[in-house]
Amino acid sequence: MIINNITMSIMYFIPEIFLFIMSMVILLSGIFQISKNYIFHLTLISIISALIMSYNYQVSDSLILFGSSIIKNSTTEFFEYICYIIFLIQIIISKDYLKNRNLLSGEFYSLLILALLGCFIIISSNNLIILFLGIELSSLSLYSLIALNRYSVISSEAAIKYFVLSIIASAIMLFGFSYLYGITNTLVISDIVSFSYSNNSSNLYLLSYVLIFIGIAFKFAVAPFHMWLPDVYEGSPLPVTNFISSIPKIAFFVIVFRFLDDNSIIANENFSKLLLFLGVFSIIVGNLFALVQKKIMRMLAYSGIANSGFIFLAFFSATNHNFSVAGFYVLSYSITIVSAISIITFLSSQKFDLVYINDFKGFSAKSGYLSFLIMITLLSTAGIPLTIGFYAKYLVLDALVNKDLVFVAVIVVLMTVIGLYYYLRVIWFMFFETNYNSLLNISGKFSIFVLSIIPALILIIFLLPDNILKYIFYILT
Amino acid sequence: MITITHYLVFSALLFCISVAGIFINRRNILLLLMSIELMLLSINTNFIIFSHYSNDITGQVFVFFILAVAAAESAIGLAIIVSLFRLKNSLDIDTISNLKG
Repeated sequence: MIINNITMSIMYFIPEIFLFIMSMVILLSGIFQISKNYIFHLTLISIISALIMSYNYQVSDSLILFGSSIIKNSTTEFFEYICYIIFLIQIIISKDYLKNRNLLSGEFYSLLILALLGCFIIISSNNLIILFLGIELSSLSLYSLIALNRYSVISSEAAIKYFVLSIIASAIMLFGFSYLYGITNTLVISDIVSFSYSNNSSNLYLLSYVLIFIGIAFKFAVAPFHMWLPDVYEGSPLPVTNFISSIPKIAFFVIVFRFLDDNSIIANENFSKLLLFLGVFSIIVGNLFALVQKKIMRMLAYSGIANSGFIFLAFFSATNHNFSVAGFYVLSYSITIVSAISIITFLSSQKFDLVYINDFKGFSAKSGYLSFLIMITLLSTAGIPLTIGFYAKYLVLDALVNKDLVFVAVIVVLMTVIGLYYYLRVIWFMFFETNYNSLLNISGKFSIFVLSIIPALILIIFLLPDNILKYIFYILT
Repeated sequence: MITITHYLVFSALLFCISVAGIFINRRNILLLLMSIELMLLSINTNFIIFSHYSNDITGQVFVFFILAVAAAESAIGLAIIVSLFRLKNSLDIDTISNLKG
């Protein structure tokens, strides 16, 4: 259903508008002495009420709003709910961390909500202008969030690196957009996609798609476009890292889905070769570089690069109307990495920063339950059975073998086995070493309860993956 | 006679020059900001050319959005550079090497 009337369109866009207004209210309330102490509660309330609102305005069929620039359907809603839930977990866990570093301020939460809003706009965009504005809204907020801790040299350095490389990515993507506009004479994504079936579809169309996917590879941090990710993970405050690692990935997955679904380019040999190369190269680079890291966030960054490679392999193996493997992989990876970084944020929420992997030594003697949670999440990122990560990796490998690419599948499996070393090293340190570090924070019953939600999900989804996969398949068609 | 091809080659050359400017430049961070501006402007020429030759106004609307976003980007970039300069007293790219590994 197409709604061109602006007032009618605004009706369906109320949750996003509410989020924007609340980000301004939070920014203002950070100034006044009276409201200063309630910023966190205000943020929590506004996110929960936006979630309730978008649940109330649930649409039954596909809606196209504001003259075909915004699309709302069950796909966008599903991924928005996931983003809301991940965001809630992140801000609940990060409160103490921010408080002890004097970062708990109005502008922090305001910018964080704007970044979330940018991701929502990316998810529901159906026009290249809106897509560009959503990407820029989320990345401009993230630059300033990384640099917010202005007494830290590494934060500013991470911010300038992220700034430069992210703009290069956006510019390459925009260059692709300009050629797409030149060929198709339209900025509406669904028209651009259906243009691929017409006879005029040329090599320039392929070139613009390649440019756009190089930009997306920058955003997913796929090798050889991965240089910024380890620096940003190390330099930015942990709650911001937590955001960068998960929610933009979900948003960009939806964009890739929108660009590739029902498009004849997916069968183009050269284009799928590009996706295959990016995926395999990224898995090799990520796993090999992660072996030599001494800092936990850099290790997680390189493991994230390897996992982005798997996401690209899932895109490679996707066919028309079947993106469920990629969707499942993105969801499983993002909830797992959120769990891992949330636990690290929780452990360093007192003055002490957990930076080195050695700090995990003997941790099980201090808190057996938390080290059990860390073990589950790390095993899930590694892809060990009994966790959701195993099932996601299995689906990707299965799709590769079905495409007669056994050699590639063997390389990927070998790299994953090599990658096991650095995950198991952390687990070894926790359970089989002595002299634990007493500065790590383990107090806070409610936070521990919130932290155990995702590991529980990781174990439960492994028992009934087919239902989840069928649901994602249903959502993405 | 100048055709659409000439314009397209021109804007592609501008884009390549600005990318080279970012990767070759080893001296000053401010030069990076200039190269970024040039990059976005070359995209703008591309949009204007396509919009002119196809008699369609939406491409020119996109140009306004890109200009506005480029202004916001340089504002934030300058703010980050100021905070970096306060900590390091230098804008040399080679001194930005605390994050390695």
